Amino acid sequence: MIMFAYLMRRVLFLIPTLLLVSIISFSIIHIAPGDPAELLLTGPDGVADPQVVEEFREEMGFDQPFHIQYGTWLMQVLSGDLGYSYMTDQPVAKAILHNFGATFKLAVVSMIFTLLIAIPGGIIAALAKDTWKDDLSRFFSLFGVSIPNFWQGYLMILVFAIFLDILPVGGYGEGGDLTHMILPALTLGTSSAAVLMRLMRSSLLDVLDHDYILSARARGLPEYIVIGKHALKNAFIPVVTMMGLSFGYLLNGSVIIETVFAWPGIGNLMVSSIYSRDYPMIQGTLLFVAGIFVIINLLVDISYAYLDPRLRYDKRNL
Amino acid sequence: MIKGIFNRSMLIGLILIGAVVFLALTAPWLAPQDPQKTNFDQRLLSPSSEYPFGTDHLGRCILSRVLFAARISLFIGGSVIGISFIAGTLIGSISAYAGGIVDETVMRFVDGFLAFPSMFIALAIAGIFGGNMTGLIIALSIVEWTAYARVSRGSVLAVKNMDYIAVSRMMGGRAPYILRHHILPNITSPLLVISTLGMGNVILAAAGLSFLGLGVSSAPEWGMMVNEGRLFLQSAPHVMFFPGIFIVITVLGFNFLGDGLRDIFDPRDTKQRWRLF
Amino acid sequence: MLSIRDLKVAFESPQGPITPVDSVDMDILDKETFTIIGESGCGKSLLANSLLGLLPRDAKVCGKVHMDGKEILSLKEKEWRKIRGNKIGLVFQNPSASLNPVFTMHNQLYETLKYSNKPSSRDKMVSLLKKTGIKNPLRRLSQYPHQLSGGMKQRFAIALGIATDPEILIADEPTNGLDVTVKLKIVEMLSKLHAERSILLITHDLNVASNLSDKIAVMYAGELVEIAPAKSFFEKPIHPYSSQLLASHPEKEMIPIPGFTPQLTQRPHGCRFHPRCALACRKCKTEHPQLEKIEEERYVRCFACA
Repeated sequence: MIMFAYLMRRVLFLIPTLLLVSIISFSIIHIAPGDPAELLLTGPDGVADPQVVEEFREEMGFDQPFHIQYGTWLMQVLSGDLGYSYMTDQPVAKAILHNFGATFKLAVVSMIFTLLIAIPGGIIAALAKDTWKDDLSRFFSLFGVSIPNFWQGYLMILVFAIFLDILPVGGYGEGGDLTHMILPALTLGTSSAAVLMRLMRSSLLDVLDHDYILSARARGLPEYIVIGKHALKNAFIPVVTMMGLSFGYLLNGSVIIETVFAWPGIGNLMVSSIYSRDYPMIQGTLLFVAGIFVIINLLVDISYAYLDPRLRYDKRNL
Repeated sequence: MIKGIFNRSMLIGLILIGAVVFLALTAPWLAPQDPQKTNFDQRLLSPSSEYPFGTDHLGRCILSRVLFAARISLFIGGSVIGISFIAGTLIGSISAYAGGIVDETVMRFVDGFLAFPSMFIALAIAGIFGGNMTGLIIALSIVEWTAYARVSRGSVLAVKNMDYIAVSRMMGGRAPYILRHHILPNITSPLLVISTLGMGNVILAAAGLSFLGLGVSSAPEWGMMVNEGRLFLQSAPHVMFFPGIFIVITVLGFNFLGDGLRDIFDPRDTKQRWRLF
Repeated sequence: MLSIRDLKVAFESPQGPITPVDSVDMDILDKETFTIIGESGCGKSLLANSLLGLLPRDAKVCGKVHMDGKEILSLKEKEWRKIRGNKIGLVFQNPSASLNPVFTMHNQLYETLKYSNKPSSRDKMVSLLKKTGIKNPLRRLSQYPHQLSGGMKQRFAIALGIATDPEILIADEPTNGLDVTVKLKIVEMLSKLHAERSILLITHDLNVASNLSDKIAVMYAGELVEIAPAKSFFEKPIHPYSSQLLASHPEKEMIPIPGFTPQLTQRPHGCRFHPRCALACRKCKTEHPQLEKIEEERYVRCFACA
């Protein structure tokens, strides 16, 4: 019952944020100085014919007052219509969903890699604190967040696809098969692991300091229970939160990684729609991506409340 | 030895950053060639004594370009952090000080921006501006400023509610005095940490956007150079390799420094912890 | 049954080595309630932790502790596990911190019983809880620590301590932070346990000490300065610190002891109490007194009194 009320409150608070998000997504074109129609039709060889621009302006409704434009768009969006792509004349929504599916697959595999590296790494670093293992883990983490992901991607391609020739250089394969996913997922996964490893370590160290660990030992419990059960269950709570934020990190990384590996995901879609000034696609993608981001954060908060019994039952914290 | 104030991370960070800054500053003298000079019969040469980092697809000396690109990256980083710092701190502090509905509105506004994954929105803004340095700086500033707003708002709120502020007011202390003596000391350390780490993040993001062709295009920039080298990955990997290494070194420097600073300001004594009771 | 000889616990600090526990000698007999009284920071809790081998990694321990004839300080980790819980139990200060917040009480009690190879049936758990005065034991078992009141948590902590049926139960400040009425009930409960096993009670609450103890030891600045049977201690304390401690009690004259407890790095030379002692003489400033036997079962560390 308490959980439900908490959920409702959180969802309610989302509405102003989502509204703002929609405004930003819609009006992003106006950030740059200059006329939107001109901007959209300006190619590398200069401004287009003023007549064409004028027609375009009318067709797109840029001559309407802002709030009318926005209102019309919002109504369409709420009924599920995100407009049509300038480039392909296909529905924006369809393209977004299709591409997001590809990104989602990539994200899941990346997350698996991340967890496989970060969790044991962080635990070992914490248990071997102040030894060389700990220092190594710290260096890996710092290094991992300092590497530009595009460069790392190309290095991986150089090593695995070119020198060793055991994996493909890029592309989607047949509907996203594993061999095509490994390199991009590994690239994304290792950077995200760099961050998560630090968190796992500090979370576990924090927990090990608590009296209930000492008390568990004092009761004669074997060490593997003290660490494996008592320490880890507490230490994982913030890690689950971080996993959600990791997904955001992966989403950000997708912009570049999908370009490097020619993976047809949402990051790739965003980039190509910016190149081609495909305005409805840009609006739609921004809106969608923000929406996903917001939902993930909500899920993370909920899972946090669920995992920590103090938050589940204690009204005061909500 | 001022052991308390310096630690190993900070030192490593300062050395790396110092090296890059030095190279950036002395680039006009250090660079063996003009970074923009093309030379069509010297294309894609491997590193040699004449061209220590080799040449790119237009015959330009990569070492020279890399050195000049350092200036660009540091400039972009500095500008973005500077703008974000000023705008963010001002907005955050004023919002917290004003409180009430002003504060609420500003926070909703910030939340709105934060709802987007940073790369997407930076991409959109930089793209709309058409791919030049100004657009890049604006785009990245729009993403970065929120961190400063949050931190300064937090500090101001914390201090605002403390009793000694009420006492200070009663004794006639006015806003500027309170600002200087109570708020500033609290705020400096977290701001310093996020500025340092932010510098690293901005340089990475700028390189990423330039890699996509939406950042700097007229002058050499590390990310843009990696993009140029991508077509020659197999035949001339050195073209994309060297700019990338420099990105790593620079960002690593800022991360080491920030990490070290964070350890100092939030002391959790790692080696010397004992409990006494 | 438990005999401690020359127990020292030392750490390295930026200001040099510090010894929070310095040459402690004492004996605890079978089924005896032995109380250590002292202010916060005098080293009592470290002493308790050292008896279970639970000191932090950088602690240096020396001395000898014999339990039923066997020396335990030199045990390896694996052998310690047989002692912890089974032979010596420990109830921590502040049960809010020593109960794991993410597991139910049932979970924590069950594992304690299981890993000590004691019967872990539901009936057994219920009877254990009843013994520590917990009403509605079945309901309480399904709850999490934060859902229990302070007194209830303390009872649980004690239940976990005796669940493994140790020969000695160490209770570190069991009444700390509890309301007066709850305090009385806990003391009542502890006195019932008195008949079954030895208890090493650590407290700074004189009322609790007087109600439960067979023997009293007073700790100051890492050392034991007086050991006496409880009755004679409260009638006539011998060490100046002891008498001033009793005099400072709200129910007596409430005279505070002048000065402050010395920091670990700034212990006075000679007798550690001399700066605050009304009876101090020149010898007290320069020579460090040893623990001397004055009467049958009474020991004092003081030049003026011995």
